[in-house]
Amino acid sequence: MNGPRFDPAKLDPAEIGRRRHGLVALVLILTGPGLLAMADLHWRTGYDGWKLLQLLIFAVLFALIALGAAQAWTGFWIRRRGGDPYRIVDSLDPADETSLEDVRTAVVMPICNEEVERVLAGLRTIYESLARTGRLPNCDFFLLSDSTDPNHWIAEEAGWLALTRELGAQGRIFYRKRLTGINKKAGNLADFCRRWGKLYRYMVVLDADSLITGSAIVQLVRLMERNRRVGIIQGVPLLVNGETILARLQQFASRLYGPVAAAGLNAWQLGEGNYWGHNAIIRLAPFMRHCSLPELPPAGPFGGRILSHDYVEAALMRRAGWEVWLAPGLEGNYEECPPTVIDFARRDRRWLQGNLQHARLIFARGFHGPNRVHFILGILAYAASPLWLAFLVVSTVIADRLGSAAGSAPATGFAAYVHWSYRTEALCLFMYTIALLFLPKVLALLDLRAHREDLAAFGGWGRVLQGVAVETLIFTLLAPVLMLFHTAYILLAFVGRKVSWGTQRRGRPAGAAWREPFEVHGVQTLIGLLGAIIVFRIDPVLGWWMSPILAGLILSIPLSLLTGSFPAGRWFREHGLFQTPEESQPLPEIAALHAALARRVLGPRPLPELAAHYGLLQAVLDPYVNAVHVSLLREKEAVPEARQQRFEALRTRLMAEGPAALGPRERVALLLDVESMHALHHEIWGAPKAKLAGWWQAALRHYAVVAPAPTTPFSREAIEPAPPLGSLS
Amino acid sequence: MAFSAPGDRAAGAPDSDWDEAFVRVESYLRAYGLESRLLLNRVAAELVGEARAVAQAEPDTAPVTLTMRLAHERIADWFARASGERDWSNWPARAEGRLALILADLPGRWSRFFLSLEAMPKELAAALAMTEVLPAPAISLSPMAPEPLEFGLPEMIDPRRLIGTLWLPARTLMTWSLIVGFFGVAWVASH
Repeated sequence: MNGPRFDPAKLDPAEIGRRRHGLVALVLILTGPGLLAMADLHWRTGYDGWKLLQLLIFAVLFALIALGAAQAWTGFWIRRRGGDPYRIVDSLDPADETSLEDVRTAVVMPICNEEVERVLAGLRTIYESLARTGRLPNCDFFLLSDSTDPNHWIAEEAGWLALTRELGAQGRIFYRKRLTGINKKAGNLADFCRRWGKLYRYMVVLDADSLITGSAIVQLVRLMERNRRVGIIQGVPLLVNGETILARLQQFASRLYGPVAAAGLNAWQLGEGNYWGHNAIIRLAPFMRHCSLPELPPAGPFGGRILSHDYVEAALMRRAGWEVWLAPGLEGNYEECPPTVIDFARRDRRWLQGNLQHARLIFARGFHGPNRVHFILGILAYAASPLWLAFLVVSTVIADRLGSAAGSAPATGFAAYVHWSYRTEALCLFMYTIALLFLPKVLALLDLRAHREDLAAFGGWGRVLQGVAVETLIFTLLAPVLMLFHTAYILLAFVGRKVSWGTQRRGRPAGAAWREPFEVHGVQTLIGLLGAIIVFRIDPVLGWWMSPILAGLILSIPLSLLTGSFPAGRWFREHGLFQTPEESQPLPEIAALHAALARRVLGPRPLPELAAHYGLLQAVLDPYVNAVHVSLLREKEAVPEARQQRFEALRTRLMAEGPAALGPRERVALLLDVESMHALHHEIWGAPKAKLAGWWQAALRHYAVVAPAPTTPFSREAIEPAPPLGSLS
Repeated sequence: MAFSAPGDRAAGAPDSDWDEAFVRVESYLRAYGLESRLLLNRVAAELVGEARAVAQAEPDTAPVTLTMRLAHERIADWFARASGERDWSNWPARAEGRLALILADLPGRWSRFFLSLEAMPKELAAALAMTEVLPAPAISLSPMAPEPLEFGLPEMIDPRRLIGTLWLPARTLMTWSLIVGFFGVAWVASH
């Protein structure tokens, strides 16, 4: 039978209830035995305050593990039975070719100090892919820049114009730079909505490292057209283009375990899904009407502007009665991931503070239950770290207090029936915990059996099992490292240390690649060593139990260096380790992105002394970059005399003393002033050397045809007599 | 506005100052993407020659400043030849001209015609007419008022918002209670 297989409008509320009810029941069933076993262990040695505290923490952590396992089980079960009948992607009639001529869509990419070549290469790939679908006339592209670094800002402007010229995309690809980045990414998108939102029915939101095929965009638009009560459809992006071991491990793990996890997630979310901030399509009219973010009451460290906007926007959309769907099964939807442990932790710090802020929103009036669950799970994703740390500390205290008493604990409680020693029972609980932790991995492997094509694309069972083993080992060792990062970040958040919403470093880290891990992981290594000494002194058996955690901390520096290594990542790739189907059988768009990146203009790097202000240099001196830059600035009608004088003084300082003599704000102010940019271009090119700072002289030499003559012992400078010694003092 | 200072006596300026002017104007033209050494050399030499002549009348202007001013005038003249009567002498117009050059891909396709006296191809002349870029569509403002948030417990536990029906939560709670009860009974019976 042709036609759509699923109509969200006919989804039975009772079925939604049954699914959620079933999932919670499964979590309870899985949590119960673990909790009882832990309670029983304490029962055998007698309860005290420490043990009650440990049991409480254990209950929260174990329930989270059980939720992961239950969700994976649900996803696995559904996929085994031929897939979920309630997937938004199945609501399309495959034969539907209704014209989308009147449906205008904006593809928006908010950026902030991102690697410009990568951004533009991605945009080019998406644009060309969409052009191939023949739906391009309905779509406009927007690069929405909040870049504060002039080097990025100026490169974006020039790169944008070059790209539009090359693609013949004038009037199709737009560029907008905000003067002030109020409210970060959410504010950036809101600014777009206020200015141009009315012109479009849908907005496809991308990240700087997103890659989405044209057919995926068209499919998303069709899905929105088909389902008029849907406000947001969130794609499930696959990770690609990982170059380090860590990035490759992440993309391997997400590709292998992702389908089962996404199916499990969709199974209970259904039309009350979440929005992850990118690789999603949004219905603009309700979004503009209902999803403008309020400020939280200013009290406490988590007041003020909402940092993690996506969860809240999904909740607001739901509150207004619009559905939010996850779209497992939507193909051609990708993103990239942080290359190193430090970048991973840095990204987590931004997300963590935003997620903790959601604690206030759990109690906001009118939100739907699942959105509150999303808030809670988002918080627990990070709060689990200090809980785990507390669990380890309390466990150590309990072991110390118990001494050898545990070995002689009476066989009461459950042990009276199964005749287990204290240690055997503890080992069984440990094994059960490990089983639940690993269940999602095992289920994903079983799921792969049924998808032979994927298995072949992964490189066969040998490669898959090899990858799983290494991924498990590395992430086991990294887990305590992240635990300490998260715990520290939470403490910092509570004492009111705000996070600067910086750029995620996606490519090769520059410069301090070796020094950074020593600086960042030094304390963690010491904590690991100290922990090992304490734990092994208290009880060597406990020490061995904790050894994976302690080893992760002690080895955090070499681990960070190894997993963040680009050459090692390349070696792994060349040898097919952690291979994903996207690598072995890349879609044309992925290959096109690589080709675009390979084609990028890599001219000679600026001289080191010029590099810090290279954007300013180009905006002032380059005739074309200057022209593009001033054409994008807003001309002011009448500039007050005092302001003119201020700018004139700044220009004089800039010329005579160089950019370093000005503060960042002063440099940006000049870059934003049309008159100054015109004036600087003419004045610096026309000024004699003696009137210019050495920096500008070096900058002008950049454009010289003739390189300075090499200095030899016969050069005039070399044979000029040295100044008298006294003059050097 | 020209950058000049008293004491830059161009007329009697030493050759090193004129060398500097030559290198500067050559560099500037090179920044336009002109790579022909022959052309660069010829135009730069012409401009320096003209500047030397003008310097007699403007002895206080530095050779670099003078030569660059003439270079801008030469470029403005070329634009005037290319695209009609418009006044190309002011800064904004010059910037628009440069934008037109890059939009017409002068460095890639037409560099040999830049500042040349030979006839300009029609295609280039037409391309140079485009002196603006469209960074964004015309703004069509819409209001986006922040959604108010109220904080309070009661609604948060409204079961209809959680599961959708009233009957189901009761059944659900019963099942969950049974599961928890089972573990509870197991505990009580064994301890």
